[in-house]
Amino acid sequence: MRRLLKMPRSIAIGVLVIAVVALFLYRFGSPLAQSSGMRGALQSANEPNLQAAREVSVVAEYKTPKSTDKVRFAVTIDSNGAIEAVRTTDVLKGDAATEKLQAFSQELLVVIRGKKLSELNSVDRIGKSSLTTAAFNAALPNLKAQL
Amino acid sequence: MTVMDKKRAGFTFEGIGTKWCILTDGAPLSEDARISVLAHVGSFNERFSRFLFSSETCAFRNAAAGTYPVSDEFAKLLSRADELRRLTGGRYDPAVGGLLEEAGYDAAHSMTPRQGTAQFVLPAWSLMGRELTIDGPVVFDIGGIGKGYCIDRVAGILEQYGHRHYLVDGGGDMYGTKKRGGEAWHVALEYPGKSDTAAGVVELEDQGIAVSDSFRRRWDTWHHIVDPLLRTPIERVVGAVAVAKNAWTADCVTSALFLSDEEQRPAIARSFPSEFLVFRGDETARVSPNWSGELFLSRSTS
Repeated sequence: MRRLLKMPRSIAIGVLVIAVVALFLYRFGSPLAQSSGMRGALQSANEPNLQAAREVSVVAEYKTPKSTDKVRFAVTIDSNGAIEAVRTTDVLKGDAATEKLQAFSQELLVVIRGKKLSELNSVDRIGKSSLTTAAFNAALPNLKAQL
Repeated sequence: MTVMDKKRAGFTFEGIGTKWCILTDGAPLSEDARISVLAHVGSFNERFSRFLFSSETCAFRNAAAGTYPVSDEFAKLLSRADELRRLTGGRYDPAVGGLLEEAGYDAAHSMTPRQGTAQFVLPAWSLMGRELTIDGPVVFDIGGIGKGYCIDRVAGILEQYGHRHYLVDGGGDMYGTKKRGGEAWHVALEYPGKSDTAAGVVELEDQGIAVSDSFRRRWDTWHHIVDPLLRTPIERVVGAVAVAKNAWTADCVTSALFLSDEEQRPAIARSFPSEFLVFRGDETARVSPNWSGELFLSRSTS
C-alpha cells in the first residue's frame, strides 16, 4: 500500500481501475459473459442475473508528492450485467469530471488472457499484423550471423 | 491446425509485401475479377512502395525544396496522413521513410541501423490540393495507412463484378460485407506476439478491421513503428486493433493509436469513428467504451 501511494498519478489511476474492473468481473462474471456488450470468456456460471441497471462506485485516495487526491470510479452496468460506462471523477472537486480524468475513463482497462486458436470454433480468418516479406525474412539470418 | 473453414479456401495471392486472401460466399471470383484485383494491387505497389525508387513516395528522395504537383491518389493519401499528423501531435508522419531507411529497413533490407538515425531530422511538408511543398529531400512511407486504402479499392472492384458477400483479407487487415445468409464474418484477433493465441473474436458486417503489432517486423533494437520526433521505436504500445466502417479508417486508427497519448484518443475517435483495442506490454489492454467484440479476459488482474 505504501508503495502504491508513492506511484506517479497516472500509474496509480491505472492500478486502481484494474482493481475496479477486477472487482466487477469477479462479482458479475457470468452475466458479463452473456451480455451483448463487452463479452469475456469467464468461468463462473452460477451467479444470479441482474434485474436492473445500476451504478456502483468506489472511492480511492492516493497521495502524490504534492497532494492527496480522491478519485471516484463509477461503473454503470445494465440489466444483463454488461458494463455500459465507466466514469472517473475528482471527489475533491465535487465529483467533477476533469478533462484528464474524463479522457481516462472513456477507455476500459482489461487483462486479456487469450485463448488458443485451436480451441475456437468456426473462425473465418485471423486478424493479425502483416506477415513479413520474403526479403525481410531472408535478411534476418544474415544479420544474426554478423552478431 | 487451422480453425478456418476449409470449404472457403479463397483466392490467394501476394501483393504490397503480404499475403492476400479473398473469400466469397456464393459465386467464386471470375477470372476477369481476379485479373482486375491483381492488376490494381500490383499498380498500387508500383506507385506507392517505399522500396521502389520509381514510386511516387520516392519521387522526392533527392528533390530540392519547393512545390511539386502530385497525383490525385497520392494527394488523397497525404491529406489523410496530414490529418493523422495533426491528431497525433506530429508523431504520425509519412515523412518518416528516411528514418526507417537509416534504421536499416531500406530497399535492400540491410536491417543494419546506420549512424544517421541519431541525426535524422523529420522533413517538413505541406499539402494544398494536389500541390506538395517540401523543405528538401523526403522519402514518404504510407505503410501505416496505405494497405487499408488498397483493401477498400479491392472491395470496390469486387462490387463492380457483382459480388456482394465477400471478405477481403489483405494480410490480416480486412473488409467484409456479410455472408449470404446475413451472418457476419468471424475474425479471430491474434494476440500480439503469440501467433497461436487469440485475444478475442470480432464479427464483421460491412466493416473494416485493422490489426497491428510491433513483433513481426523487429530487427536489432528496432521495429517498423517509430516515433520520428524521438527517433526511437514505440514500446509503450505493442498492438492495436480497430474496427470501423471501412478498412482505410481502421488502418488509420491503429496507426494513430500507436503514435498517440491516451489524452489524444478522444479526438482521434471523433475524427475516425471506430471501436478499438490497444495492447500494452504487460498483458493489459485499453478498450474503447463502444467495443462490441468478444475478448478472452483474465478473471484475475493481479
